[in-house]
Amino acid sequence: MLRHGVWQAYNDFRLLMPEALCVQQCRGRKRALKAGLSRAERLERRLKREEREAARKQYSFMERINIRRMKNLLSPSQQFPGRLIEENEKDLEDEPACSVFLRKSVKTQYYSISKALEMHRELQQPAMFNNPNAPVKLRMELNMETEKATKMVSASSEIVPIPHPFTHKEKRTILAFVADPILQELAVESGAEIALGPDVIKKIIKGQFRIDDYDFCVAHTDMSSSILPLRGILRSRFPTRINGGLGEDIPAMIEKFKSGVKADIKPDPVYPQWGLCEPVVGRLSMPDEHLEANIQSIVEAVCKHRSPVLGPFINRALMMVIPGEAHFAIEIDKFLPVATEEEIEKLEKRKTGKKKKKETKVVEKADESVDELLALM
Amino acid sequence: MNPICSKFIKPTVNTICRRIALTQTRNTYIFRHVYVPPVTPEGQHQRPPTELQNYRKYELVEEETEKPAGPLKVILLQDVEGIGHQFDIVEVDRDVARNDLLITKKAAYASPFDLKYYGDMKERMKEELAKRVRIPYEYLKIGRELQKLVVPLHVSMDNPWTLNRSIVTASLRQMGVDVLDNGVFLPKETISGPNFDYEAKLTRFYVVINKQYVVPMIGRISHISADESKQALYPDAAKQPSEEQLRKFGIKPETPYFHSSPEIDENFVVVDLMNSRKKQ
Repeated sequence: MLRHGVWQAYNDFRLLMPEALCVQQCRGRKRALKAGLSRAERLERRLKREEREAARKQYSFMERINIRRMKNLLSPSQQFPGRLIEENEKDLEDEPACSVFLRKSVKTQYYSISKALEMHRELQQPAMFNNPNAPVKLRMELNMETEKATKMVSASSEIVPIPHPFTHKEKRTILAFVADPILQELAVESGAEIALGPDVIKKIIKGQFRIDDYDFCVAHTDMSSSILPLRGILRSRFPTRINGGLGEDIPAMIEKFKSGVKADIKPDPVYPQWGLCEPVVGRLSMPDEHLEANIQSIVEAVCKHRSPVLGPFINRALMMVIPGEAHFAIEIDKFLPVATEEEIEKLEKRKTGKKKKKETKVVEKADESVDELLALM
Repeated sequence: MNPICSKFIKPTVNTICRRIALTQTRNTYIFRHVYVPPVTPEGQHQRPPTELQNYRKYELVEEETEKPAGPLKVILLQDVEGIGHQFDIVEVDRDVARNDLLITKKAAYASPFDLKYYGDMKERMKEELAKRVRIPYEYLKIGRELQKLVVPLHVSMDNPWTLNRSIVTASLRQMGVDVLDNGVFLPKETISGPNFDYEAKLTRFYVVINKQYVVPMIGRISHISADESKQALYPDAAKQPSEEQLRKFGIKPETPYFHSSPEIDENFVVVDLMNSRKKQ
């Protein structure tokens, strides 16, 4: 009995020892493989799992698909400041209710050109960004759809002559098609990169002469008939009387195109029905009327690429300053071309004409099948 | 442990479900005959409608729960922001009314008795109600959003500047807040620079909404330049500064002020008014 008592006491004593408080020991054949985790290790694993779940739950399924799409193809239309989608704004108020308002709680406010310029000048004053002579950029969001659903307005790059030129530090290479050698020299003196005669045209068609480097082409009226074969190669750079590239006074034309504004219409690689055009229209230090006239000529030139019957080509025009993120939407409705009634009628006729053809075809087929059945009976 | 717990939990869950199913739900359904029984000619007795099985077939025309029930007319018993003032008779969304206003006794159903009862109470309390200051809900909303912002006031690193209205307005515009009518007021002790001691310094300025509501706002001076090589980096500058930080710059937490009439234009000395309120 004494031994039993001693053994009990010893057992009780063992409970006080720290080893009794350790984790359950694992006994069995594969003891080493099944060794459990300590509390710290279990906590670590749980934290890692929660982190991973939080990272997963950050975005919903559709958002993750969009993010993956964005990573593969960057859409310039959706990068800052993004595109105006009227549906997203329809719940917001039209006009701000109070004299102080938050931009995100009201629909896009359209400012007049002078008001937008005033606001940009306030930002670029010497006390702030100190850049009063900054170039002003017009970011135009375009709708590239045409009558046919599968066909979009194509990319083009052209130089638009503007009434009030300004200093832009861009290198412009201009090609001059002149027959006379004297006039060729004159052309090169007044700023053309190179002047060509009628003999070089065949080389261009064959491909021996590179014309991709040149931004625009100017031609003398003597050569007007001879450069026609190059129309397909030059496309929007082709000089015609309409865009001012064909004329008698070569130096003046070269001046006009050297100081003109380069307007590139770029379709969006991700969303083909969207497009962008971001020409530099002037400098902040220019007077408001000059900038307005420049903007008018550029907008009119850009809108020529799509028939006005289909709707507004320009979704929204933002005035921005390089470098900077400040942007203000501008009213350019007065510069947009208005579709004439004749054109609208023509478009409707074409649409209804297609519909009628489809209907008559279906009706005729139905009649034929009925006749066949009757014949069988 | 587990088997014992489930023994206790399961039965209680079952009883709760049964209880929920016992509560009544009443709806109205409109049916019509699929096969219409013929009209009884005059003088004759009606044939029993259960004669033919077809006459007992019905189809559902309309159910009460198909159409959304419209808004509910209630009488407000207190000033509720965004909906109306005390004793106003308002049409409110049904969910809001039932789950929020009626339960918390902020509103009562517009029954004929209640309309008369609260109408009389309104007449009796007319003077008291007229004395109350009522701030339009839009001002309150905008004021709250503005107070959450810490506006980075961009100033030049190279040129001399003095903090004035146009700098603050332009900085606010960059944050997405447009001030249309010169409603920005700054303290008289102007800050000028460029002085890198003032970098990241917090200042107090006031924005006035519709010439009536003065909102105190916080701005942080940040030196910038168009030259990208000279950019300064910030830790998370968008968070609300803590009370300690505010005290460091001598800014006391303030509340917005609503003036009785829209009189606060450029000549009004807003800063003195707010300072006198601070001391109270």
